[in-house]
Amino acid sequence: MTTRFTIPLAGLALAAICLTASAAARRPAGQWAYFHFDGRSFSAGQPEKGTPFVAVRDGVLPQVLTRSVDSEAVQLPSGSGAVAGICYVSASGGKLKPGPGYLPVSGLQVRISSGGKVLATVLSDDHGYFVAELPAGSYRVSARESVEVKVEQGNTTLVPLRVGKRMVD
Amino acid sequence: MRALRTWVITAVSFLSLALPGFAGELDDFYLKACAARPGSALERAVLSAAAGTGERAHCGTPLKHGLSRDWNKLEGATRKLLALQLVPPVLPESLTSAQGHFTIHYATTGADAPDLAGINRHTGLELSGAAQWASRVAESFETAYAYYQGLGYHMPPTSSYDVYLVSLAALGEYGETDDLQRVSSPGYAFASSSFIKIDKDFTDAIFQPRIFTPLQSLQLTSAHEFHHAIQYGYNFYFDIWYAEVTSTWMEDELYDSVNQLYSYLPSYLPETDTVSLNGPKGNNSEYGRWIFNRYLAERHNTVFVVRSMWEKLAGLNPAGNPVTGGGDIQMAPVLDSVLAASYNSTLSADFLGFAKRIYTRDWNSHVADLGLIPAYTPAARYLSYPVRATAVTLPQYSFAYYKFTPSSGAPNLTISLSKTSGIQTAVFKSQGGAVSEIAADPAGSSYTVTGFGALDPANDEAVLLIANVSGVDNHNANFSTDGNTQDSQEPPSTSTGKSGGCFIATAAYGSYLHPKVAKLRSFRDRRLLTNAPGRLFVSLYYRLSPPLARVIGEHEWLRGAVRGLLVPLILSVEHPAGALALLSLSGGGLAWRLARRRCAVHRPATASSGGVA
Repeated sequence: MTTRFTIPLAGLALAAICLTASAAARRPAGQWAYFHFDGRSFSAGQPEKGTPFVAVRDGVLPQVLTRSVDSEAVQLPSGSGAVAGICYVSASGGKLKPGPGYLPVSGLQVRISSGGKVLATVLSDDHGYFVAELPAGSYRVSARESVEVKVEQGNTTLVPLRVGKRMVD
Repeated sequence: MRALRTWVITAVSFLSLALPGFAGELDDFYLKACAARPGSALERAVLSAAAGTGERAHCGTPLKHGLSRDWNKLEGATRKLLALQLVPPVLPESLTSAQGHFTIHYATTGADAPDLAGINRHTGLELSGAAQWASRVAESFETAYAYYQGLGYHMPPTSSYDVYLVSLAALGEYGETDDLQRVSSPGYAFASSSFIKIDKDFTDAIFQPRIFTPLQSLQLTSAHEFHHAIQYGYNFYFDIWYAEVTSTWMEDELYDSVNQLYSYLPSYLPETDTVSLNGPKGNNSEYGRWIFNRYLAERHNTVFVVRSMWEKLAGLNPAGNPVTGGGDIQMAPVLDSVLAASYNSTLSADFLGFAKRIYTRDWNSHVADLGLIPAYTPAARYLSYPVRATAVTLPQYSFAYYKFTPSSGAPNLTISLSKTSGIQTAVFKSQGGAVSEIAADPAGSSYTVTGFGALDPANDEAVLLIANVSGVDNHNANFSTDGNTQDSQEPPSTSTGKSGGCFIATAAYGSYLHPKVAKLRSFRDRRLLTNAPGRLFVSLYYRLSPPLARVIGEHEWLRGAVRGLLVPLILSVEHPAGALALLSLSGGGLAWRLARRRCAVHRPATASSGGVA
C-alpha cells in the first residue's frame, strides 16, 4: 500500500474507533437517563429510594420523579431544549450530628431571562425542583442567586440553583 | 370551530379571575406579600410564559407578626406553603435587648416554649417566666456584640438582629444562622443579612455530654452564631471551613473558661494526614481546625490577623476568584494574600509553623488549658532499623508525623528524603522532655540525629514531620534511614480525581472546566454511565488513565498532540449524526478507491492473458 493511502487510512481508522466507542456506549433510543442532586451538583444515576431525581431523554421534556416508571414522553418542540433544576439551601456543619447537607426550597419563583427580559417564570415544586421548556439559546436562571445556562436543541440542561446558605451548629 | 374557541377563551378568562377568589382574602394577602406565588392562579402552573419582573417582597418582621396573629385563619395549603417559604419561624412573643441590637422571639406555650423548670434545675436560676430567659438570651447576645465590636468587626447589616428560640434538640443542633437577603453597601458588595435560631433552653441531655450547663451552651452558641452573622455581613460567599474555624475559635476568646472547643480537637489532630486544613466539612473536623487561628494569633502576636482575613474577603467577588465546589470563595488564597501583604509571611510558612507547633506544644496563650490539647499522633512508629524507603502522599495543607524510637542498633539516625515541591519537612529530637529541631544537611535531603542510639527508648524519640504546605493535592515524599529513597513525582497541578473529571482530557486542555472537557464529562454521565458496557469502559479508563494524564500534563507538546487526537472523539460526541455521515462517506470513498485499485491490479493480468490468448 502506498504512503498516500496510509495517512488517510490511519485517520479513518481513528475516527472509526471513536465513533464505534460512541455508538457502542450510546444508550438505546427512547431510554431515560437519570440524574440526582447530591448537595452540590447533579450526578448520574438514581438516588436512594424515595428521593426525587430528574429523568432526561433526548428531544423530550425532562421529568422529576421519585421512582423510575415508564412515564409518558412529552416531545420538545422543534428547536427547543429544556432546563431542569433544583432550588436549595446549602446546610453545613453540625456539632452534635452532621447537618443535612442541603435543603430543597419549594414554592420559589424561578425567573428565566435573556437579554435582560424575563421570558418565563416557574415555581419550584414540593421537592424544590423546576422544569422549563425553552428555545435553544443562552439564559440567566435566577431565584435569589443567578446562573448562566446554555440550552441546546433537544437537550436538557441541569441547573443546581443555590438560593441560600445555612450554618448549622 | 370559531364558537368553540370563543368559549374556551371565555372559560379560561373566567377561571383566571375566579380561582384566586377560592382562597381567602387573608391567604391572598400573605401569599402575595411573601411572593409565595405569582399574581394569578393560572400562573401557578408549572410554566408561565410571561412573568412579572418585580423583585420578591421581603417578608419582614412586621408582616411575620401579622402572620403569626392570623395563622389559624389561613387555609391548610396556604399555611403549608408559607411555612416552607418563611424560613424565619413565627413565634408569638418578642423582647428587645437592653442596647437594642437584638430582638429575641420566643414562645410561652407549646413545643418551642423554654423549659423553665429544667433551666432552673441545671443553673440554679429561679426563673418564673419565659420572658426572663429571653432576657438572659438577649444579654448573652449583647455581650457577643460588644466583644466583636470592640475587636473592630463590621457588625451585621441589620438595625435589630432577630434571634429565635425554638426546639432544636431533636435535630441535634445548638443553633443555626441563615442568610436572609442581600444588603450591599460600599465595601461590602456581597453582604447578606441573616437571622439566628438557637435551642429554646439547652436543657435536653443531648447538649450536656459533659458539664455544659444551659447558660454555658447559651454563651457558646451566641458567640458562635453571632460571628456567623458577622461573616454573612462581610460576604455571603464565605468559605465554610474558615467560617467554622473562626466562630469556634471565638467561643474561647470570649468565654475562655467553658472550653468546649477542645472537645473537637480529637476530630482533627489525629487526622491531619488525611484532612486538609481548608477541606470541606467532615466528621466535625472543621470545628477542630479552630486551633489554626490560635496559631495565627500567637505567631503574629495579634488576634486582629483573623479579622484581616474577613476584611479582605469583604471586597472579593466570587466571579473573579477561585471558588469551592459549592460556589463560595476559596479562603486559602485569601489567607495567603493577607499574610503576604500585611504580616510578612505566607500561608505555606504559617501552615508549616502550625504543624511544628502541634508537636512542640510551645503555645503561649491560654496556657492553663494546654493539657486539653491532645499530643501529636504519629502516622507510623519505628522500633527497628534501618527503615526502608517509605512513600508518603498528602492532600493539600496536611501533615504527618513519623516516630523513631531510639535503638542501640542505630547509634546515629540519618533520615534521607526525596520530596516534591509542595512538601516541607522537619526533624525533632526529644530528650528528657526537651525538644530541639535538627537542622537539615546543606543539600536539604537528609537529617542526622547524632547520639540517637544513646537516647532513652522509653521517653525519648526522634520525629519526622512531612507537611504538604501547598494548595495542590498529592504532593509526596519518600524517606528511609538506609540512604536509599525513591524519586518523588510532582503531582498534576490540576485537581482531577476528586472532581470526577476526564483525566487525559483535563491534562490535555489544562482545566477541568474547559468546555471540551465538560462535553466529554457530559458524554460520560449521559451516555456511558447509563449502560453496563459504558460503565465498564469508564471504570477501566479511570484505573488506567491517571499515569498517562500525569505524563501528558507535564509536556506542553504532548498536550497539543493529545488535543489533536481528541478532536475526532469530541466531534463525534458533539455531532454524532454528522460524524456518522462523514464516516460513511469516507468509508464509501475508501471502498470505492480500493475497488478501483483492485480492478487496476487485475486488469493488466487479464489483458496479459488475453494477449497471450
